[in-house]
Amino acid sequence: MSTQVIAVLSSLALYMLIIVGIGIYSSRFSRGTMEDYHMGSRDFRTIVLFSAVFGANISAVTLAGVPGGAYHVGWVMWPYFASSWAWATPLLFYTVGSRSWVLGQRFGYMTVAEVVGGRWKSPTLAVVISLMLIFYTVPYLMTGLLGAGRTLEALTEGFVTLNVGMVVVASAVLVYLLLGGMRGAAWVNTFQTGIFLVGAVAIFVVIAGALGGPAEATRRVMEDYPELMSRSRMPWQQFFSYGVIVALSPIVFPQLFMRLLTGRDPKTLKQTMCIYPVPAFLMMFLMATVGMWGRTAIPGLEGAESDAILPLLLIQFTPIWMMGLLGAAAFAAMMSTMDSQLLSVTTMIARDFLSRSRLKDASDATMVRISRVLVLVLTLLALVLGFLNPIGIIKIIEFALSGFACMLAPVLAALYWKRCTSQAALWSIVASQVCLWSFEMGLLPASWRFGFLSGLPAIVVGVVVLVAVTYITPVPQDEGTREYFAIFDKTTP
Amino acid sequence: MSIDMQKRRNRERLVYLLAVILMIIRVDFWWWGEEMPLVLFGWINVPMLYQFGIWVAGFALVLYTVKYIWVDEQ
Repeated sequence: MSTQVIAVLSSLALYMLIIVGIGIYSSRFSRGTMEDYHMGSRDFRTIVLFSAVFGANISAVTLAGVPGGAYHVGWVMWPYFASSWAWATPLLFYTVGSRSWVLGQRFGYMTVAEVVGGRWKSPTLAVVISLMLIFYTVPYLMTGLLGAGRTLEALTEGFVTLNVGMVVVASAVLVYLLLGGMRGAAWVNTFQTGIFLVGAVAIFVVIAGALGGPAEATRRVMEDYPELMSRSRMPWQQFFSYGVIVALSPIVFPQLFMRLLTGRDPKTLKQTMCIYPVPAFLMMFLMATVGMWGRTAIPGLEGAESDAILPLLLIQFTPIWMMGLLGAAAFAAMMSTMDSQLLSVTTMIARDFLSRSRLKDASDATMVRISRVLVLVLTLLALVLGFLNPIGIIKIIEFALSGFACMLAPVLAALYWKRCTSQAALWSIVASQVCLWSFEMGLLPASWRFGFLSGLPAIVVGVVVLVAVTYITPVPQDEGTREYFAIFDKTTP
Repeated sequence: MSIDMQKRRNRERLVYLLAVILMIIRVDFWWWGEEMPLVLFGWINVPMLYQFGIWVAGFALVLYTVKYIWVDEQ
C-alpha cells in the first residue's frame, strides 16, 4: 500500500469517525417519537437549518457531475446552475416554504403528499404524489453512492474499488441515520457543510496554483479547447430548459421540502433564504472552473469518466496530506444529500403509506423501529442500483430533476389557487409524467421538443392540463380548501 | 383586504414577474458559441460577467422578498 493510499484512508477514517461520533451524540437527545425521529421536533435554528437544507441540495452533482460536465462543455456548467437555481430556489423557499411551514405547524404535516393531499382531503392524490417522489428520489440517491465510490476509488488509485467504496459510505450514513434520525443527520450536515465549503475553496486555490494561476490555466483552455470557452458544446435551448428545471425542482425534493418544515420559526427560514444564494453560487463557480481547467491537465477522459476529474486532479497536484482532507470535502457533499434522501423516503413510506394502513394505530416507538428498518432496506436498494449503474451522474440527475419539476404546478395550485380541483392536480401530474416519459423513451419524436430538454414541454403540458381540468370541473367545496385559505388569509399576502 | 396586505401582494407579483424576466434573459444567445476576449483578471470574459450579473439580480430579489414581502406572523 502506497503512502498516498495510507494518507487518504487515514484522513477519511478520521472524517468517518467524527460524523459517526456526532450521530451517536445526537441520539442522546432523542425523544423516541415519530415527530422527533423524522423532523427533529421542528426545532432547528438558522445555522443547523441552513446546513441541513443546503447539504440536502449540494450533492454528487456539485462535486462530481459539475466538474465532470465542465470537462466536456466548459465554464457554462456554472451558470447552468448558478444563474437560475442559486437564487430561484431560495425564492421558492418563500413561495412554497412559508405556507407549507404554517401548515406543518397547524396539522403536523411532514411530507409534500400530506400538504397537497390535505388541501383536497384526497388520499388518492397523496398516494400518487408520494409514489412519484419516491420513484425519482431513489435513482438520485444512487448518484450519491456512485459519486462517493468513484471518488474513493480514484483517490486510493483503485485500492478501494467502486463497489467497496459505496458500501463503506453507505455504512457510515446508516450509522448516524439509524441512531440520530433527522437530528443526527442535520447535526452531521452542519459539520459536512463547513467541510465542503472550505474544501471547495481549498481545491480551487490549490489546483489554480498548480496550473500556473487562473489566467494561465484559462489561457491553455482557450488555446487547446476553445469550444469550452465559447459554450458551443451546449445548445442554448438546453441551457434555458435546464435552468427552468433546476430552479423549479429542488423545492419539491422530498428531502429539501421536509427540512424546510423543521425550522423553529419563520425567522430561521428567512435567514436560511438570505444565506443560501452565496455559497450556492460559489460552489458551482469553483467546481465548474476547476473541471474545465482539468481538461488541459488530464486530457482524454471519455463520457462519465470525467465525473472523477476532481480526485484525479487532487492526486496529480496536491500534497498527500491535503488529499485526504479534500477528499473528505467531496464525501461530505455527497453524504449530506444521501442521508436526507434516505430519511425523506422513509418518512414518506411511514407517513403516506403505513399510517394509512393497519399500522395507523401503532405506537410511536413501533413506527420509529419500522422507520429504521426502512432506512436499512432503502440503503441496500440504492447499493444494488449503484452496482448496476449504467450512465453518468449528470444524465441521471437531468431525468430525475425533470420528474420533480413536473410536480411543482400541483403543489403551487394546492397552496395558492382556491379554484383548482383535486382532479386537475391529479391529471396534471399524469399528463406531465406521460409527456416526460414519452420523450425519454422515444415514443414522441425529439423534434417536437425544439431542442429543449424533455422536462420543459412536460412542465408546460402539466400546467395546461391543470388549468383546463380546473375549469371543466366544479368549484371545490371541500373542507380542506376552506381550512387552508382561512389560514393563509390570516398569515400571508 | 388591508392596504398593507394589498401592497405586499403587488410587490409579490412584481418579484415573480422580474424572476421570470431574469430566467428568460439569462440565455444570452447573442454571444452564444462565440469566443469572447478575457476582460477581467485575464480569465473572466463578458458572458461570465453577464451570468454573474443575473445571479446578483436574482439574489437582490431574494433579499427584497425577505425584507418587504415576507413579514413575521404566526
